[in-house]
Amino acid sequence: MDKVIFLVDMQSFYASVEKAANATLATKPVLVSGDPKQRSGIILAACPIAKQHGVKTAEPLWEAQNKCPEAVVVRPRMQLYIDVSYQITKILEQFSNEIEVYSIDEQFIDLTASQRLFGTPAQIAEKIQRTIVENIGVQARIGIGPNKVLAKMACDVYAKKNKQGIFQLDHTKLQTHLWPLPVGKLFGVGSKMEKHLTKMGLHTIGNVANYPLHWLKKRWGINGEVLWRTANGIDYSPVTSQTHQQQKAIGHQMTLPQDYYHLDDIKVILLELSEEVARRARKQDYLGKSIAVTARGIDFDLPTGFHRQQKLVTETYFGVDIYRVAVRLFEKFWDGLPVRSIGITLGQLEKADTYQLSLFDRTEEKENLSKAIDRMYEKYGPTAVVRASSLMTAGQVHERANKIGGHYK
Amino acid sequence: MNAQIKLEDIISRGGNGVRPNKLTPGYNIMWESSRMVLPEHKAVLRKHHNEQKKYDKPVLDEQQLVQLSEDISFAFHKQIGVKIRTYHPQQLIYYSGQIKKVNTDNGSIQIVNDEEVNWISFCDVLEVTFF
Repeated sequence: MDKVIFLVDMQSFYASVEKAANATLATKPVLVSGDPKQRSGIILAACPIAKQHGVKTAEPLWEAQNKCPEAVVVRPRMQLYIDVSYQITKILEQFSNEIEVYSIDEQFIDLTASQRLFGTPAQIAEKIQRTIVENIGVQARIGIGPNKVLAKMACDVYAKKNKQGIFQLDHTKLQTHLWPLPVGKLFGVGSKMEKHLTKMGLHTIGNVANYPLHWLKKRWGINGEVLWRTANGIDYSPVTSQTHQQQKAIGHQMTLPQDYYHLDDIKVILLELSEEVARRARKQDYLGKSIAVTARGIDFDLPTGFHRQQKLVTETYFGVDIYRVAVRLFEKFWDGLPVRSIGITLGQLEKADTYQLSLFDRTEEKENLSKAIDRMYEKYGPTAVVRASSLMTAGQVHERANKIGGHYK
Repeated sequence: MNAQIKLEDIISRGGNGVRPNKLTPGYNIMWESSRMVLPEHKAVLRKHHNEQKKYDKPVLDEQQLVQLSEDISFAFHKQIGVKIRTYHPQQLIYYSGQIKKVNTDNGSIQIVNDEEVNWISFCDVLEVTFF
């Protein structure tokens, strides 16, 4: 028997949450936008009314305001959106326990085993839509398919466009409903990939589906085969709630409020990021054995910067250890051009309960110090104790403490 | 039919690889590498998942058992309202009300409030608090 998998997507999620939270906004065009004084001044979400005026997600705020001057602009409240997303997860759990959160506003749910309880896929979809609207006040669009990739495309290509907000795409509809579409609509194809594919004469999804697999594989390897499978509606991956359980790496990335030119300023950021990564590793009881540093330049069209990683001799969860490696990598690979964003990732994680003791490091001292600081952090918040260097103008610790995903909580 | 042959070909190869990749059936790598979930959101989901983890029934020692049975008989005789926590592998379950009956034959107690009547087995009782 075929599986029944839904992708449940929330319509203009941030904007809808804001409208549900404030009844006076219901009939007005609403834009959720980051702070235009900082670098996050782009449209994160626009409600359907604002979209009718031609506002698009990710365009700069001023552009959107030109199109729709009467729009109400609200700042994002990331913690609220996470909480609401979690509430939706809990609503979905009433229908099945196989739920996979794919993003803040998209969740997969496997309903194969729930049909006897709740009815046909279409009936369940309506019931889910109704429950979410009644409890959260947000409209859900639902793509239905025999696997995740078809559910996703059913949602993106059809359910988001039709009135009902529900569409079922299965293998019998492949030739009529998927293959005639332009190749850019294929899941996993971005603008660059689209250019490459059309250059090869592959203009529709059907063209990719019927193109010899070995040629796609020769050109793009595994990703070529993934494309071919997607075009043919093949996907064997399960809907799994376990997917967020194990961690492969702990990383932090930060877009700087202004460009950084000097290594001394950059070092302040590196130390802050190192400490934060280390703290999260300790909290989850992981040690990491590789450290990666990413830096991006200021020009999007002429990308500069680097991404390098280095293995450690012994695994660590201490900020200073991470910092030392990060600085070394930076000194070695930074081209000296202004930097717009910096990230540090601790990889090759291992559970800390089984680690090997290093002979040369005075771990115990560091251990006790970190423990004491972690306790203060837990009790008094992330800015209770900070490095003196963070008090310099380059420091971002206080700014960052108020943010989630680069936007204010 | 052509697609059928290719499909089987893929399954057999995908399963034999040493390191799983985006093509390996049963793995979720294709989706994990494309998704975007904030670390703060992940933390909420992880916490939710751990809360659902099953936990074993705690073993009570003799003193605790004596204390529990004393509390129950006290509440029963004085007809004092109580809140009783019982064992469940995934949830915290509380019953509140008055103990109306005690059945010593099968070791169960009846707890009654305005809305419902429940029988609880004495061996499931973990905690008794008086109102």
